Amino acid sequence: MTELLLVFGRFHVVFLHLPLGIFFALGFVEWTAWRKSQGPVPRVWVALATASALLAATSGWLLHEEPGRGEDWVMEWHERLGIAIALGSILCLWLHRKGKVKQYRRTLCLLVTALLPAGHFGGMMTHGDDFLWEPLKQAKEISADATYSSHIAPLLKARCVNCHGARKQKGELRLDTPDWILAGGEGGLAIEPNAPLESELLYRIRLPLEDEDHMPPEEKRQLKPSELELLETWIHAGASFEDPFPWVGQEEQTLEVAAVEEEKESLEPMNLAPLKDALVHVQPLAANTDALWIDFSAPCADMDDAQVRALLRPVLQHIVELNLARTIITDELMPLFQEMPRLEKLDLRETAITDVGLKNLGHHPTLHTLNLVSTRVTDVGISQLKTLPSLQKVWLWNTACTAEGVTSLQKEAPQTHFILVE
Amino acid sequence: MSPPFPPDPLQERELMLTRRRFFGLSAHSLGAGLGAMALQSILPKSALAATPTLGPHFRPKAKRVIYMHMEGGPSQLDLFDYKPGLQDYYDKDLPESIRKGQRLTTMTSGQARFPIAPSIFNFNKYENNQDGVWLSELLPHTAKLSKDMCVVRSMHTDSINHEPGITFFQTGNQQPGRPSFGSWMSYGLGNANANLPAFVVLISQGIGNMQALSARFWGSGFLGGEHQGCKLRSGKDAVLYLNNPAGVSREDRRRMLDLVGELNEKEYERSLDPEVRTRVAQAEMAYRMQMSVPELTDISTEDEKTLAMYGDDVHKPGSFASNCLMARRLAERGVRFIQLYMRGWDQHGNLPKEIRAQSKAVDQAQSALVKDLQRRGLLDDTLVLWSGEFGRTVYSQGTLTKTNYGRDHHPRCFSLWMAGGGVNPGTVYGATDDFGYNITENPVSVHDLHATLLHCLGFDHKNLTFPTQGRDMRLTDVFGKVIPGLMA
Repeated sequence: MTELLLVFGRFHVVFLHLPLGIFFALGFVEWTAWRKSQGPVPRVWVALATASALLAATSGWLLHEEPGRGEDWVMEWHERLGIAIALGSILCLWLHRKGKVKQYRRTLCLLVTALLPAGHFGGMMTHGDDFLWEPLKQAKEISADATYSSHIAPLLKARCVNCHGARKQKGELRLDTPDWILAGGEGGLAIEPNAPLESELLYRIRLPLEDEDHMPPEEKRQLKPSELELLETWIHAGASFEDPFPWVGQEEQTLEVAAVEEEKESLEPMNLAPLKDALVHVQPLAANTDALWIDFSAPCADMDDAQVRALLRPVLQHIVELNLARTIITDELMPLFQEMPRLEKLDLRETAITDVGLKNLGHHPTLHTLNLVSTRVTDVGISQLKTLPSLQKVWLWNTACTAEGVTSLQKEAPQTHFILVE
Repeated sequence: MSPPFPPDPLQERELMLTRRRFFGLSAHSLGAGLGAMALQSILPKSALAATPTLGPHFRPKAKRVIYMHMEGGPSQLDLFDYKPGLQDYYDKDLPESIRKGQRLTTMTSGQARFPIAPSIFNFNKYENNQDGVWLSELLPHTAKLSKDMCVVRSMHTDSINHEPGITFFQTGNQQPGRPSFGSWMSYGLGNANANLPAFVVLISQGIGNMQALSARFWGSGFLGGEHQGCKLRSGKDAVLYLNNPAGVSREDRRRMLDLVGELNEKEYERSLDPEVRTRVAQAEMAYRMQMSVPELTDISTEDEKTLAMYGDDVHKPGSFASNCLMARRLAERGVRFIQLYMRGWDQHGNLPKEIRAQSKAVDQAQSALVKDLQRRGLLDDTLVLWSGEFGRTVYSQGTLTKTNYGRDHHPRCFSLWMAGGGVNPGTVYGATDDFGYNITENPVSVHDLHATLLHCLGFDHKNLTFPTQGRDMRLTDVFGKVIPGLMA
């Protein structure tokens, strides 16, 4: 029986449309009748309207009784107005029956007015606070830069703060102020600046909808791809709460997302089969990403330039971490890294790479970790790495590099850490 | 409610089919979306596994683990947890307000007195990234890692004896039978080097009282045999019978394996027993190890300076120094989980003499291992963990003299250290009371440690699961929370 009642409660989202339609129609008909000094409509129509209002109010009340439904002012006012309208509709019916046309029409007018906020509050609960005006707002927000306060805070407020804010702190997490965001929740830190793939916040959002850890919860309004992209861009840019970060805005962004999705589709099983058959380790860096870590540890002794090139060719776009340590590659292979637009970590330990090859790393935009341990590179060669904009760490043990050479280079390129342990 | 187990074997077989398909599919969606799906559907026959690997949930800080287990329970009071105030309490009874009636082992519960035994070893303060760390004179080389180590002084465990204690540390459960940490890694991440097992075990014999090390400590439980730890032998040959017998060429061996593989595949289709596929995978692994192990264990390519770093013992196969060097070589080659055991920390009596010898056997080598990984650029993504299964009591077991004492098992607090991938370097976490008996600050349970290590390895510990016996099993069971203070 309780189950049936629960189902009845959930039908609120269906029933509620009946009083909305009937009362507005009734109002309109009575308004024209009043203009033409005609009498009221037959009572059966008023009775129908009253019945529909009662149906919506009872089902709504039952829905609210379900455990886990939140309490806030929107809910509270929606409920109050709903009950008021149900009672008002009974009053309407009674006035109609008593023949008090004037009072009947006034009450009806009041009811129709009350339906507007009642319906709107209901909509806010199911679709989110800004559902109606969102397209207008977003159209205005196309700009070259975004900031935490203009873009991130409103997004978190709309999608997360209801449960992770001052009123509720599910999972001991609050996302309403910078301090709380940095504090994280019971599962650890929520965001890792500069590292979207390592940020719990994004990981949860990207989980499949049916996963119990997915956020926002299944029944709540979900983030749009562009909103996820916005969060990702912000975290990637360092998750600063003051500084602006580049954000191309709504329309272009949608296009970019579409492009990325197309690219993902190109990651056909066919493309990875040769890698796996050659016993090369291929692993996505995180759930729901096409970013790959590729490791040649197993077949390294046989992997020359031609083989590596042939195996990597189909997946160049996806390589973020690449381990070519102890392979038999030469400087000839180096230009290939320029064709990996997302490459961040490159391990060339114990290979025949020399200064000649390093020249070809040139201005790689994303490379941030480079392992040159036990190669033949020299001070001259590594000085060419100054031009790499994202480079953070270079390992140089057991190379021809000298302490003096590294120290002077370190001064010229302070953003990169050159590590030469003796 | 799940339906009752079907009595009809044919019906069961059909269910098994759908179940396997279901698990396969759920592994895809759990894994890494498109990427993993692409990966798993095209596994070459040689890499067929009974249980597919999942891939990390988020980008890992660490790609591999070197776990040095100090079997027996090293004394935190003589190594890591400096309690200078205890000198004044020499031979006085442990106050009841500290012990609070907590359980003891039967080895000391019958003692008439619990006389406090201050450590006879000096401690020195070393610079770290906070206000310094006190370490014992027994670990002069390890102390050089003070800026890399995260020393945890507030570990506690549920177990007071070795067997359940080690089992708990390795599997997250005191009862034997669950998969070992390394097996979870093999299942969750697979192996970066298909020519070597994902989970390798190396054992060193200690100096003093040694407890048994059962193979189930590195068992894979319900995860399938190919995720089990592979123990390399300590003697001259790491793996026996590596060479083909006279008259059998590698090609012959290949043809034999192909034929047996076909037969096994038929058997698998008939019985749907995942162990059949495990057997195939193991045979293929053994075939590849015939090539990879000689290269792995050939240390003639190591230069003299490197060998000297690890100490003289490095030339003795099976010594802790030799195993540390092997651990580095395994890490270099992409092995996921390297489990080192050092036996002999169970110092119930003659502790000062034994712990001195025991510490000497590990100190230089473990320090060299971390430094060697560091200069090769491997420490950043290698998580190094050093721990026993519990600590030791502040009171003496047996006779206490100025120069000699023993210590019983103590699960209420003990110390461990970590370094490398994802670990907060140069820090001390947690604190104990003046007697080193109870935790006063930031307790860390074994489940918390597991959850945190898994986090560093890219896993949400609540989501690294395997369905068996009607529920999703985890390394952390239904416990554990990630401790941000331990992570960089």
